Amino acid sequence: MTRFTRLALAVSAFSLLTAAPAAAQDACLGTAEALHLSDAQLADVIDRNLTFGFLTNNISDDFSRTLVAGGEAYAEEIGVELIVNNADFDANTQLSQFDALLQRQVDGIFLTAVDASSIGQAVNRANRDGVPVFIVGGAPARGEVIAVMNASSYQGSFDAGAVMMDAIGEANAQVAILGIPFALQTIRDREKGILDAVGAAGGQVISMQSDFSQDRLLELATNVIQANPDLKGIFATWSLAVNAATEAVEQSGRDIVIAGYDSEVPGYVELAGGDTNIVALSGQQASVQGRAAIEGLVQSILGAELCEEIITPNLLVTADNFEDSWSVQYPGAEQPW
Amino acid sequence: MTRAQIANYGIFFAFALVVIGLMLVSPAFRAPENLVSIGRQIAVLGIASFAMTFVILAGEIDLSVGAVASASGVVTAMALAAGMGPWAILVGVGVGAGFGLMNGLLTIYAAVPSFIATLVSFFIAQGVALTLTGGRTILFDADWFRDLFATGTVFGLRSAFLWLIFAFLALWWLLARTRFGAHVYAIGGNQQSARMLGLAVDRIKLIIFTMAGALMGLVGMILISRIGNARSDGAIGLEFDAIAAVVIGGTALGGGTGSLLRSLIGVMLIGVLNNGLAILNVDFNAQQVIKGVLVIAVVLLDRWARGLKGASA
Repeated sequence: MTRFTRLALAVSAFSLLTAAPAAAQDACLGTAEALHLSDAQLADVIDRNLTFGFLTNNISDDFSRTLVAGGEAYAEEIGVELIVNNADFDANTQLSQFDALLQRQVDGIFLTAVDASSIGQAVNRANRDGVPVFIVGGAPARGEVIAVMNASSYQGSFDAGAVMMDAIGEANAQVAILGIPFALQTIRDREKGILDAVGAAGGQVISMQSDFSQDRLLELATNVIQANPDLKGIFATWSLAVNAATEAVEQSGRDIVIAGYDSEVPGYVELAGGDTNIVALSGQQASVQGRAAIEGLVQSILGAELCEEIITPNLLVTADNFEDSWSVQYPGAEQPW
Repeated sequence: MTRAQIANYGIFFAFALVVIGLMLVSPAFRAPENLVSIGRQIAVLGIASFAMTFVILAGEIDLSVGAVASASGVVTAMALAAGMGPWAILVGVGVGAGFGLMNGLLTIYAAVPSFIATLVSFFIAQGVALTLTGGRTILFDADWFRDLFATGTVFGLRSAFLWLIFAFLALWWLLARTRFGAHVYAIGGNQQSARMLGLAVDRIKLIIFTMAGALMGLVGMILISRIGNARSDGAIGLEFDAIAAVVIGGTALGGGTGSLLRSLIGVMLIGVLNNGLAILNVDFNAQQVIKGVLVIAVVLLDRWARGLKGASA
């Protein structure tokens, strides 16, 4: 064996070794589109009389409500019975609901966890009973789930932030961030996305404030605007912060550009009204995720392998495309403007 | 300054210290428009604290204020969206008063401790608001309503702040200048003695709970007017801020001692801290720590000045 042949073999072996995990990753279903069911699979579903449980951490926000609606609509369409339980942000309630679903011997569970660390023990019990679990949001600390689905938090914030910086159009522009004090990865990703977008445009973040209450966020936005006469933009990292920033800017009468993560009804109405400082909102496709969760459970039951993490891209909602975005984000819902 | 003077004026002194400190370190804080803004921002907490002061003075507690204000706001917004016009105001106040009346009836005639009765109201009000909204944000288009309760301006002052002033003056008069107010103190001081003196304890408590509920209706309307929409969770947590403001002001949780003016100072202290810390760009978590430390410092100073050790004040 010549030196060249040995080298070629070594390179080939190395290529095979490194390619193997990638090939396995390619074999798994890793997007919402890839989870779509074929006609043959749909026929199989009807024969199986499947029952799934959906445990939502709450239904008081737009995302959760749309997620539930998306799941319910698709489950009905394909003949799957869906049992929906709302934990109303109570981790113990969610654990009880989880166990009740296992008692009922459902065929699969998908959930948005109240507390990702405490739900792990319940996921372990589902693993023991052979019930597949599909998670939207944070992964559990213990137990195996068939997939964790998340929106593209970083990219969504970065894209909306880039539009905001472009609209400001000034070097060293001062920007404030209005957020939510949740220690969740998705929130950190949103913050990193906007920080990178501002940095890439040469701007500076002069204030980062957060709260859970819409009224308190309005106060914070008002205070930040008053304290910073050169403020050019506000980026809101969640829906209530978008509402608060919009109202605070309007009351101030200043020309401050707004962008944010979460496009919900008030944001759409603002964009539809035309006279708004909002330039871009990053919209999660909750309805798509609700459908994908049902499809993911079905695919798993039919033997397909799902990728560990499934990322759904966000919509970038602007004054130019809000009507089209609405029909994607809220399929079938009446336009409120 | 003697101990007695600190007991009487300590909260005012602490408030002045915080304001002077913030004025020294932040030019933005001392800007006149910011001071006007603080006035507008404390309207919701202020009126909620006034209602809570009456309830606590009478020896009771109301944990439903945030949920009732949210429910009233939601119902008012839906009434406005349905084209009910000014009648929506009556509906909003009526919802609040209804929950207040329920609190009173449960506490007085069903002998359920107010802690439990108002907790029940909390859950019912929250459930009603959530059921009505289905988790949606309720939008309404009524500029006249928003101007009336929050965004309108009279002599440079926002209407939300004017409602706060009006509520303070009316309730201060009621508490400090009428027989009804004296009876509230008497009931909170010693309910049995008040009964033996022939005071209509049950009726007065029922009026207090109902009035507190009606005030939450007003709070709900100011809240939705400030932001222009209504949510089922719009004022959740308000009860704890209101209790904190009342206690900071020196009103005894056991009832019988305190004043509306002291509660107003407690509200202003919280409002000034919220505003100042945000202007100084202090992180949310650090803000909670600073506010917590300051609140406990004020309360301990007040207890020391009143010569209270260990026993609940």
